[in-house]
Amino acid sequence: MSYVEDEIRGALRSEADRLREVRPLRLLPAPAQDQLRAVHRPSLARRLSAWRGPLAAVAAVVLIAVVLVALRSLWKEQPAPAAPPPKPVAGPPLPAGATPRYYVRLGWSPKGTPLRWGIVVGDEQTGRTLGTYPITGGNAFMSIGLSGAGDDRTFVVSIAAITAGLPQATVPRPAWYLVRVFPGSASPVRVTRLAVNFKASGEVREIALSADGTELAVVSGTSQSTVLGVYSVVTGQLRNSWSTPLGASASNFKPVSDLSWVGDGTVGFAVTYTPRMREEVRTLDTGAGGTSLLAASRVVWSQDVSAPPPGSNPYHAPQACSTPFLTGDGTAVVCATSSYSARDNRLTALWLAYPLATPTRPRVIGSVVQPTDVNKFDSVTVEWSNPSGTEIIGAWNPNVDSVDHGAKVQTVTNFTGFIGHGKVRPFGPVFGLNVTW
Amino acid sequence: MDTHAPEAPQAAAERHVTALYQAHALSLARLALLMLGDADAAQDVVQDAFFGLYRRWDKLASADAAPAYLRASVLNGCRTALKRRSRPPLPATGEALESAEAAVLHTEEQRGVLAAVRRLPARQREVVVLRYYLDMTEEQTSRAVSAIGRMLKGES
Repeated sequence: MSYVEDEIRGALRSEADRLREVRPLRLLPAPAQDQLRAVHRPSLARRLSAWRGPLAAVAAVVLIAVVLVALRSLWKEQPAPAAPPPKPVAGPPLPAGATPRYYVRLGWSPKGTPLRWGIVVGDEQTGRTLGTYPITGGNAFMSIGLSGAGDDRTFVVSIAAITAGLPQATVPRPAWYLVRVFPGSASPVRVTRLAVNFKASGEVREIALSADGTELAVVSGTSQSTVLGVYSVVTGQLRNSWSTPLGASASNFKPVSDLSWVGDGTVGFAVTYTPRMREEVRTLDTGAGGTSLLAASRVVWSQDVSAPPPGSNPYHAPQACSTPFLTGDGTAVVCATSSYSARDNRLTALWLAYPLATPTRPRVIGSVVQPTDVNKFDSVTVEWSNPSGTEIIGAWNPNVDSVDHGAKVQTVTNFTGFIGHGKVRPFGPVFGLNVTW
Repeated sequence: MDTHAPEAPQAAAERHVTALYQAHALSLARLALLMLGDADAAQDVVQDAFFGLYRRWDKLASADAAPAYLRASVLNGCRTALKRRSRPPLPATGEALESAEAAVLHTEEQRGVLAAVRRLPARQREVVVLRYYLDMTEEQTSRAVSAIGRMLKGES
């Protein structure tokens, strides 16, 4: 193998690895797809940005695909009333030590032909789907936001639907839904429309519902700027907003992310300047004045990691801890990373808690050692954390290379599980787009 | 109460294609990115390939053939996309390559290599990508390049 060949291989792999996410799969009914193609090619600029919804005491799991299992919905379909907005006050928070049981995701509604997307509510403990609420207005999504309150029963969903293949003159306005779970009742899931007066331009990238369900933090943006707004769930009105010229780019998908609530007056969020290298977590008093997001907030945690040496395997090199969430009690940042042991030739997915009081001494929440054929993770993330950061839901997706018909094939497997006190309990794959607990 | 009905053909195709998407979409998108130099266009090509597989699922001889079919479909989609472009296939100052992350991640030599690959005609670039990114042998590369068109037409 020549030096030149090595250089070509290295350059191609380095370039290819910049792509970290793919859009959700969309499968339209054949006639519709043909018709759409005849009209216009899909916009190349379209990108689904809300791959991971945030959580207050809750989080969103990012899975690449959508599933289609034969669901038997207990949901009684009803058209969603546009008004008046319901009272979205959540119940009491989960007791200490409890892990969330109910989740909300986007999946395909089992009812009707052609298949439609729907808000799916499930019970992780039983593996059952509690209800599916079909979504109208399009067959693909420009943006998605999912978040839950601290009671494990109250969720908010934001969806900007589009019709795939049709040109988009403007960014579609998102529709907002309040999803409530009533375990054991005849109608265990109730979905109502929320009249959120969303004013910002651009796509909704993340949302976070406060623990009591009364306030909603929303990050939205364009390639030029990012806006963080706080809305009243009861009235739908914008209470305050701040912006930053940090915009999304192909290599920095969400410069402002990982929203969380500390009490009912402070929002934590992460700012990513260079993915895997430079990031920080900030806190913002929602009563703060001014319009600059960075000026109104303060840094409580940061990481700055050097680029790996030229020619080294970037997946074996140290990198900034991903998905840094400020915990609900505001005392720590929980995040995910990976480590590599040259002696064992193994990668390990690792979840850490950095106490703000002792930020140089992280605590290991849990880890998963990978088989030797795993050569990298596409991502390792935190999807939910309890208020103290001792228990989390984490996701990790190891890559295995194999050879098929003479070509290298990468296979990715998505895992999600409860992690805490050094233990990991994977749960069954919940295939779907953006799952939130 | 849950009941279990026999799975409809459409549902089976959706389930299979969804599983394939979960496992292979990212690597195929990376392949398309190398061919097109545009992440959004690459993702469009991959979406089209999976939708094409979904539509032809019942005609697929074996589920084992799906990954190879998808790869061929993506490469063919890239060829089509490149043909549509009236200007040079990859802009000399692509947004992605100018990003801070790319500037740090790519060495000077790698930037030079990528610029040279970008200047290649589409078919030659395809050969380079197959040979050096997918690690195909020269013989496999040759067969793959000539077989892509046949495979997509359903010829054996």
